[in-house]
Amino acid sequence: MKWKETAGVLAVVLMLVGLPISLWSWRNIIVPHRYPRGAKIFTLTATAKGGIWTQDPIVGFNYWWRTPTRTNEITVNQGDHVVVRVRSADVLHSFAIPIMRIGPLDVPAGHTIEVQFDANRSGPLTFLCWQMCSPAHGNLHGRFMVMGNAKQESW
Amino acid sequence: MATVDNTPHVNETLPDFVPVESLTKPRRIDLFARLPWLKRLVKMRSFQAFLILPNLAMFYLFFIAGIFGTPVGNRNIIIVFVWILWWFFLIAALVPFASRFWCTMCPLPFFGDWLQRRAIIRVRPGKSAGTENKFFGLWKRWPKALSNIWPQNFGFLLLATFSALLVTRPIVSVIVFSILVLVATALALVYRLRTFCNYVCPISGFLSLYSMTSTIELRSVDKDVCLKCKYKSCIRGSDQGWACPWNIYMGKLDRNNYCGLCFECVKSCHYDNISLFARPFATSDVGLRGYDEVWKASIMLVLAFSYSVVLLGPWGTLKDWANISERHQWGGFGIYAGTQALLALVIYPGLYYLSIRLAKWYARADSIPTKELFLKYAYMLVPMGLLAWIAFSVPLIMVNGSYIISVASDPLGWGMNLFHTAEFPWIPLYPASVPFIQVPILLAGLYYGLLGLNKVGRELFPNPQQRYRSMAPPAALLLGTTLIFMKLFIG
Amino acid sequence: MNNALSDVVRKTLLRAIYIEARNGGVYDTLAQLFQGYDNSVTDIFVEMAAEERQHGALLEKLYGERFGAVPPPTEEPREVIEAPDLDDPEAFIFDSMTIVQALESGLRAEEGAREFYSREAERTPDPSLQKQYRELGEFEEDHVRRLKGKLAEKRRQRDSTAR
Repeated sequence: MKWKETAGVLAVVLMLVGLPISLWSWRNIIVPHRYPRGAKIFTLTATAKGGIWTQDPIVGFNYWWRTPTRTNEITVNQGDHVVVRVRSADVLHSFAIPIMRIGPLDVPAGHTIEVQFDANRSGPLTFLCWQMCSPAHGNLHGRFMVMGNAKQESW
Repeated sequence: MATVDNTPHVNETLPDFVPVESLTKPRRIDLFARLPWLKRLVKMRSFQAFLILPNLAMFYLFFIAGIFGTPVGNRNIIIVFVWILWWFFLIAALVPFASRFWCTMCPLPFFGDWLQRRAIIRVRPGKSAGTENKFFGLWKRWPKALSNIWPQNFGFLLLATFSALLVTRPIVSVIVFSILVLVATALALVYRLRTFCNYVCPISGFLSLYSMTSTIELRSVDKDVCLKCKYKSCIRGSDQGWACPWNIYMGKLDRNNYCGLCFECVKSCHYDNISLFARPFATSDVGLRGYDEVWKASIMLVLAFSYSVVLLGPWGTLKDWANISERHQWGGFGIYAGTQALLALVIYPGLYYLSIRLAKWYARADSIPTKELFLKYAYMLVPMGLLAWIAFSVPLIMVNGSYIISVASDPLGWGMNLFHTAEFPWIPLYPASVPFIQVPILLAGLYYGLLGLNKVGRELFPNPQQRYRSMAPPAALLLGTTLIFMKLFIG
Repeated sequence: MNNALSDVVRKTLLRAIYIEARNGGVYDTLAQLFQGYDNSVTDIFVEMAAEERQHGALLEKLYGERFGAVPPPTEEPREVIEAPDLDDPEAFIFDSMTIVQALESGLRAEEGAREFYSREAERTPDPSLQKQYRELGEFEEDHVRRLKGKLAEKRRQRDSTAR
C-alpha cells in the first residue's frame, strides 16, 4: 500500500511541476527549432482597443488591466530569415507587409498565423492590419527596419 | 361551484400514469451482482485517485491556459472544455445516467482531502470525533444555521448572474475556480469531512437536486443488515475505508441528493452490504425535504429560462444588459440581475405556492399541512428543470461543439497543433434541427414531472379523485412552464 | 424440565444476551457518531448503551444461575428486533438529529423488543419458556416506560422553549 501512496504523491508532484515545464519547453525550445538556424522569430499580437501591434504576450491574466507596449519598429539585419507569428487578441484582424507582397492574411481572434520572409533589402518594411477591424484600425501599423549589411555597404 | 361529492367519478375517467405495483416495489438491478468486475474496481483503494488525478491534470492545464493562454474564450481550453464540453456532458449524460459521478472525480476538493486525510490513496484507522479514522485539521462542526443548501443556492444564483463574464473570460473562470479550490481546502482544514461539498460548492447544489432523477443509486443491499450493524462503518469509517465524506448513513439512504459516489462505504462496510443499482429514470427518489431544496428547484428552472431568453432568444437589448463585461450597461445589468433574482426567489416560488394553496382548496385536503404538500409536490420541478437545462444546452454543443476539436489541438491559443485540428473551422451541427430535439426533451420533462407528481400524490391521497384534484393546479403550472420554454425554443 | 426444553430456554437466553450486547454496541456507536454535534444526544445514547449493558448483565446472571458461564458468541444475532437506528440518513448533513428524535429512535427499538417478547410468550406452549419471555418483556416494558417519561419531559421542554 505504501508504494501506491508514494506513487500517488509522485504523480501529483510530477504533474504540478511537469506540465508548466512541458509548456515552457514547447514555447522556448521546440518552436524555435522548427525554423532555420539563426532565424529571427517575433510574435506580434494585434489588439483592437487603441489599435496596437505588440510583442508583449497578451494573455488571460494581463489583457484586462494592462495596456500593452506598442511595437512601432522591429529591427532586423539584412539577410536575416524572419519569422512572424501573428496573433489577434480580440477581433478579426488581417496582416500584410505590402512591400514584400505578403498578405493580406486573416488573423481570427485567438488564432496564430505564421509569416516567413528573408529580409533581403534594407530599409523599412511596413506591416499593417488590412481590414477595418475597429475604430482604432488606423493605428495598427508598424515596420521592420532592415539594417543594411555594414560590410556590403562599405564595399 | 363544483364540490368533490357531485363530480362524477373523475378517477374512472382519468388514466393512471404508472401501474400501482411499480410504485410500491423498487425496480432496481444490482450492478455489483451482475458485474463483479465493477465491484472489484470500486473497491480498489486507488479507484478514486485514478479518476481524480487525470482530471486534476486537466484542471491544472485549464488554470495555466486561463492565465497564460489567449484571452479569446472560444480559443482557450478552459472556456471551451469547461463551459461547452463539460457542462453538456455533466447535465445531459452524467447527472441523468450516473448521478453524482462527477463528484467521484471532481478535482476541486482534492487538496483539501489530501491535507485532511494526509493520504491520497491509503486509509488511516484511528480516532477523530465520530469516526474510526484519523483526520488532520481542527475538525470543527459546521454551524447548524448553515447546515442547509441556502449558501449553494445563493452562490449559484450569483455565479449565474455573472455568467456572461464567467463563460467568456478565461481569467474569470480561473478566479472563480481558484476561489473554490482555496475555500474547499481551507474548510477541510477547519471543519469535518467534505463541508465544502455539502454546504458551499455551487455546482454541488444543482447536482444534488438533479441526481434525484438519475438511473443509478448507491444503496445498502439489505436494510436489515444495516439496522443490526453495530459498526456503522459507512458513516464512521473503518480500516478499509474512510468515514463517509458526505456524512451519510447508508442504512436508511433513500435518495441520491447528498451521496457523492466516492464508494468509500463499499470499501468500509463490514458486511459487504453496499451496492450500485440501476433504476428507472426520474421515478425513484421523489421527495424534496426542505424549503432550501424547493428554492433550488425554482432557481434552476428560472435560470434555464433566463439563459434561454438571453443566449438563445432574439432580444439584443437583453443580451447587452447581461453582457456586462463588454457593454458596461450597469443600469440594464441591474434590471437583468434583479428580474432574474426576483423571478427565481419570489415570483416562481410564489406561483408554485399559489398552485399548492389552490390544490389544497380544490382537493379539500385540509388534513394535509400546506408545508407538506408544498415540499412534496415540488419534486415535479426536478425532472422538468433538468430536461429544460438539457434542452437549453443542446444548441450550445451543436452550435459551438466544433470549437472543442480546434481547441484540443491548441489548448492555450499559442499556435500549437497537437492533433492537426487547430484550424478546424467553426461548423454548427445541423442548427435547423435544434428545435426538433429541444421539444421532445421538454415534453419528456413535462411527462416525468407529472409522473413524479402522481407518485407523490398517491402517497398523500389514497382517493384518486382527491389526488387528481390536488394535482391539477401544480400540473397546470408545470404545463404553463413547458409552454413558455417551447415558445422560447420554437419561436 | 426435560433436556430438549432446557436447551431451548438456554438458547433463548443466550440470544437475548447477544442481542443486548449488540444493541449496547449500536448505542455506543450512535453516541460516538454524535460527538461534537449535539452532546445531549450523545449523552442519551451513552445512557441507553449503559442500560443495555445492565440489562445484559442481568440476563447473564440469570443464565449463570441456570446454565453456568456464558459462551462467547459464535455468530452475530440474526434478529432485527430492538436494534436502534438513525431514522434520517441525512441527519448529520443537516444537523437535524435532536434529543427528542434520539429518544424516539430508542423508544421504537424498545417497543419492538417488548412486542417481540410478548408475542413469543403467547406463541410458545412451554410454561417455563413463557415465563422467560414474559420476564424479558417486563425488562423492555420498564425500558419503554422510562424512555416515554424522559421523552415527555424533553417534549415539554422543547415546546416551552419554542413558545
